[in-house]
Amino acid sequence: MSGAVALQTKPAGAAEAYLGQYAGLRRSLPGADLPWLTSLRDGAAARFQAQGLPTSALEAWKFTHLDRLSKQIYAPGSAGNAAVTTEQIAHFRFAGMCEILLVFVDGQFRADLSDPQLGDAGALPAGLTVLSLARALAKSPDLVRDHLAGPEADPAQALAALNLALAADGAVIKLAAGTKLGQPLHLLFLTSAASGQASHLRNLIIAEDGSDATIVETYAALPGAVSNAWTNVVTQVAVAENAVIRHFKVQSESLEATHTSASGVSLATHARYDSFALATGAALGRHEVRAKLTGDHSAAVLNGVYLGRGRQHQAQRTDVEHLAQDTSLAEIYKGVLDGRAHGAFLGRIHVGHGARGTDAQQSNRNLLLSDHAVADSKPELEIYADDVKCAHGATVGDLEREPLFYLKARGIGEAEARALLIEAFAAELIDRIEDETVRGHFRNQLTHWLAGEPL
Amino acid sequence: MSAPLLEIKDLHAKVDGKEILRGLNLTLEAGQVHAIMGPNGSGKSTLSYVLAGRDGYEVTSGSVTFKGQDLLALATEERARAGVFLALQYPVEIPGVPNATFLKAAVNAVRAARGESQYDAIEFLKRAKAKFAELKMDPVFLSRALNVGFSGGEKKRNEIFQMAMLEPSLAILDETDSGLDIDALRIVSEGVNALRAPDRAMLVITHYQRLLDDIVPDKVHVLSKGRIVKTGGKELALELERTGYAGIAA
Repeated sequence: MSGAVALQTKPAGAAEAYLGQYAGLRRSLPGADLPWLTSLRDGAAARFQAQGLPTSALEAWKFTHLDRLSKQIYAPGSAGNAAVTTEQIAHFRFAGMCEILLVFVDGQFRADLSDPQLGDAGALPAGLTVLSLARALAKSPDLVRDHLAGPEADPAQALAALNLALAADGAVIKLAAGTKLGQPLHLLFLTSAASGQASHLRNLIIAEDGSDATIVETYAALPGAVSNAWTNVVTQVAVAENAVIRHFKVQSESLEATHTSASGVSLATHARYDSFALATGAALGRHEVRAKLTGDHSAAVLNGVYLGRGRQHQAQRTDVEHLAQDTSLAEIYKGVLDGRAHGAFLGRIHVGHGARGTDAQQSNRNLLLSDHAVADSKPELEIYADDVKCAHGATVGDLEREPLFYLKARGIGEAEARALLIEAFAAELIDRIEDETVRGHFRNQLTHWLAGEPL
Repeated sequence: MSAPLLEIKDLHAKVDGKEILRGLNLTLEAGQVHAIMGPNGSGKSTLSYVLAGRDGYEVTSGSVTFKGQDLLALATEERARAGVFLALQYPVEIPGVPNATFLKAAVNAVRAARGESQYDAIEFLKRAKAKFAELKMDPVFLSRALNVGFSGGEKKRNEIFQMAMLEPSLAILDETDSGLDIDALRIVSEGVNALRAPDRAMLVITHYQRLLDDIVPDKVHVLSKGRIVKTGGKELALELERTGYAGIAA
């Protein structure tokens, strides 16, 4: 290293270290033999070099400090060889094991732990293609080529750029036109107890015209493992005309971990994207959804619940662009924060020129269970069209007194009454999930968190 | 003669620093139904909240004795477990708490305080469904969130249903008739009458006389400016209907 580099501030030094990882892995990453991909990765690395790690000076990262990523440099792991038992996997399965399960450990797809039909295209429902990204790049790169580009040159997307440079694996899901999946797809991303490990995962969900599917992502440590890992995910979702994607996420990483994720969603005419994200884990968790409603009558539901205690930081950012006529957004994020936890919500709504008939509703509600917990909330509305309905609201507070009195007046004790109301506050959104199995899975996560049990 | 179920002596209470109850006296024997009538602002709802133990209602002097114990010394939930039930004028909507979950927790808390066995889910549902049928309520409301999406009449019937499940020894009905149409009023009255029992007393707070056609009281009290100013039989309610409160409450 030259003297000039040594004089740089620590975060910049960290950025150099992450770039160094790319330089070292450039020739061995999946798809290194594909010139178009190497060109994409080089471009992404150059953007990351120019931008560095995001800082809280950026609007989209307000309230979030990424010091963790510069105090320690997280390195992509070697091939996923951690010993994992089927019992450990069973812990995460839905009731009745009704889902199609893909398992990733420390950022690598594990065919040995995933559902066996995944290896045999004929055994999957007709119209469904499921592959790991590494396999897709080796066997059918054209499947993913048009969907790997991005993100644009935006400093707020620097981690997504680093992700593109370093992405080694992820899930690729394609639904052919008219395919309607009767069972949920479950993408399970686990980290082992290895310390300082980074997983740059890139998932693609391509839903062609009129298709319909439910996809659940789970991010967690292996049962019993305490994992100081960094999981950095980008999930690109393209929802074509009249297609419906229900996208659910559970982030229950180890309490030592760092989790950053960004979903980029595009919606064509009459497309529908219905999402719910639950965050309970990680020392620092950030979940971002960027949705572009480019087709008339497209609709997005962005709901989320974030739970924090101790010194956890849970940040959520949504950025929705209404770019066609009669599009709608229904968005509710709820935080429950105890101890010294910090919750942050940043919600941008952009209504472009000519996006007449836009109906956008955003709400962020926070329940603070301790005097030391903090919730920050920042809506951002940009409206450049006429004839639109936009509403937003944010609240921060303790439990309301009237419901508490009502429960106690029926004989229910203070502690039990509070627990019922806290659970109800979060469960209200979970109860909107139509799929009974998925709903039950999320209710269980909530109940465990409230009971202070490991998930 | 045994001690009364409820004895209120010279009760004074403040809300937001303002004195609302000013020397209220009332004695209620087990098995009796008393009506409390009075104009708006006379202190009817304050009395019900003071008895149930709501925060923000400060008793400055006087006493309330319930089954021989100092009621005011008990926490809200302890009063409910001791047998006090307040049917709210405006039952609270609580999204995310299923009606059945709420009521099972309440019934078991009250049963535990009485030294009775806990209902398991099956036994609870069996009893709840039977009570629902008696009150002509659709069992679907058991699985819905508490009072959410219920009509005004359904909320009031849900209060009566809770009362039937909790079997209190003192039931206070705070303007349960307000906002009800004739049919809902009849169903609520029938529910209340079915719960009249020799070991149970009721305090029916109402602004209008019509509820007392169906729930016939043993005594009628007129509350004005925080005190009982007149007590009579059921005919007093009819008199008030004719003359209004002006003559009595002046």
